[in-house]
Amino acid sequence: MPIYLVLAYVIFCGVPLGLWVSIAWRRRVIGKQLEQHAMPGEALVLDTNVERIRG
Amino acid sequence: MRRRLLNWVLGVGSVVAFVGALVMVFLYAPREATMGEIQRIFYFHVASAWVGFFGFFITFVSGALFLARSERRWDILGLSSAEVGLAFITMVLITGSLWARPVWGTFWTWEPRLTISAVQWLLYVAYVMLRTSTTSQERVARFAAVYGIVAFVTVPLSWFAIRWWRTIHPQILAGGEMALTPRMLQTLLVSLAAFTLVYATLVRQRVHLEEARDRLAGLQAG
Repeated sequence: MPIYLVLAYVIFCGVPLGLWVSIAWRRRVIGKQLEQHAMPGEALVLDTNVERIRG
Repeated sequence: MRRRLLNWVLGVGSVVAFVGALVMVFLYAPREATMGEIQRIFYFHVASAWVGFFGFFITFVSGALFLARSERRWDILGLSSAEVGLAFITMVLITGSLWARPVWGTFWTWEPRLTISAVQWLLYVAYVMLRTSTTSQERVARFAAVYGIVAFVTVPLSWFAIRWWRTIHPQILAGGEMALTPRMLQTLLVSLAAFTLVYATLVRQRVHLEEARDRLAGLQAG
């Protein structure tokens, strides 16, 4: 099998896979940052609101 | 839940279709008489070009919709589609050169189709670089929408280049007739479908990434 054909199909498989991994990695990083930012603050606001409604 | 299910279906569908297309390229499609084995680059090369052009078309449509409605979702779709389209057009340029070396005797020649493809690649690299600009998001989005509409002119130009000018680039459709045997055509169609699915999966993931970035920016600002 010609080396250029093998190289071409390595690129055809590698580029979409690489792009998918890159996007998934960036989503993971942002997901972790979202968890750090969102959870404590949101819980606090929610608790306060509940208390105010009951009170 | 529905979103996760659709992601899963798209992801699995893409992998199955891609592997199926690979099997057809190497085991089902016949060996071309003149070029031999190297002709097998053709199936995924054409499919990549289709996805690249389709991606730029979606950026064009999203740009028009963003200018008309000023909705962030159209800006996100345009950006995501341009990025994925650019990755596929990069593959087209590299694998086209790998095919050209044994067939034409050179990796590159400045003939009309190849020159337009190189200009198109540079234009969309500039588009992606533009998106990393630090000026206001609204201004960048508006400029990118106009840019995406203007840059799309390279797609019909590239398509018609091999019909309007003297070129050595091969044509699949010449004078209304398909220059492929039935097995070759079936392999090409499966490859086109597989790459379209891969495009949809990647753009969807990229849109989710941008939405997550927006949520994070909102939390950091507030």
